[in-house]
Amino acid sequence: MPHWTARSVDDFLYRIAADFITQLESKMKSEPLSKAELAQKLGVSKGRVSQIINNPGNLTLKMMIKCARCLGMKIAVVAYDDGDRENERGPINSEIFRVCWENSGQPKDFWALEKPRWVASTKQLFRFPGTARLGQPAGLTSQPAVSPKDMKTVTTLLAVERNFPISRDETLGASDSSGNWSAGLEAAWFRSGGLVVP
Amino acid sequence: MMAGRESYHVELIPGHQITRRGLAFLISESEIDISAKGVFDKLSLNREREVRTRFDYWLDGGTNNKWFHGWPNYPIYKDCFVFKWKERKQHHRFYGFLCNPLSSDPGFRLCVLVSHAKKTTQHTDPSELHEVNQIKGEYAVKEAIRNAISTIVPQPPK
Repeated sequence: MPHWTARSVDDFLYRIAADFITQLESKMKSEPLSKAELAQKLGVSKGRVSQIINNPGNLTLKMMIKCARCLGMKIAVVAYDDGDRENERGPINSEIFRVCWENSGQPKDFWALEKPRWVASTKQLFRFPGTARLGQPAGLTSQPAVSPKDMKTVTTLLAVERNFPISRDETLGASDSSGNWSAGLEAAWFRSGGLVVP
Repeated sequence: MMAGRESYHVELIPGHQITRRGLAFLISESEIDISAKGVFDKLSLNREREVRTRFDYWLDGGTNNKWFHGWPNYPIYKDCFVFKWKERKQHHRFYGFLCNPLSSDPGFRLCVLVSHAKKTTQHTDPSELHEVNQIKGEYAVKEAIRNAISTIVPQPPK
């Protein structure tokens, strides 16, 4: 059974625009910025802002950009292939992409994707000293390296780069925190839920 | 609200993926209070899209108290659930209940929507929840849920 957004382009558009509005409202709340203030920034009436929020199906990409920019945010239009050719599952919520990007250390360019960093999954700890040794399990050097392709299957990735100082050690292996990463330290790291560097 | 056991039917809401959670309507030909499905079917296209977007958000594991919530802190209403939207200054509600009907997957949660209510304040009328609770406990409803889910196999998450 296809997802309801498979019925028409307008259905799909409504859903992804509604996801965008949810992000917008969340930002308005955290700023905080009222509808009246947003209206003023956009140069439209408060009623028009309510209309945009209550009927996302009529949103244009241009208006989305205007709204986002008023809140100091940016927009990316992301095409992705989740293997769901017939759209049985519906679109993936844009908030999920945002959180993944933030959890990956907010990479700003392609170089940022290649920077050495520690990345942990719920099951394994990997280190990323660049593409040459991509996916070599830290402290578990006897295990086979994980290919970049296989890394796609690792879920719940936590970019340690942002949260843990050790990840900023680009000369991997030279410091105690990365080079002497032991099984004991790794166990402690996992015990802590991966949120504290031993 | 009491009815004969053959008068209930549970229908999974088409157009939504069933993974860790599922959504269904309780249907009764004889009880007008069991109105969620009838109201849903008559929603305007845009309103239906709005409500379905909220369904999706819950099915995907999202949290948004403006769109839906339960009453986990009230033991007697802990299984009650509501989806909400606003239309022409009126607050609309789909009241229902949560259950875990799959013995093969005890973590799977089904939300069975029962009734529709329209009001001018945000306040919850406890009688709505009381009625949902009463319905939930009926053997015929449990049987209808069992029949409805007997054919489904939750898909792996996205």
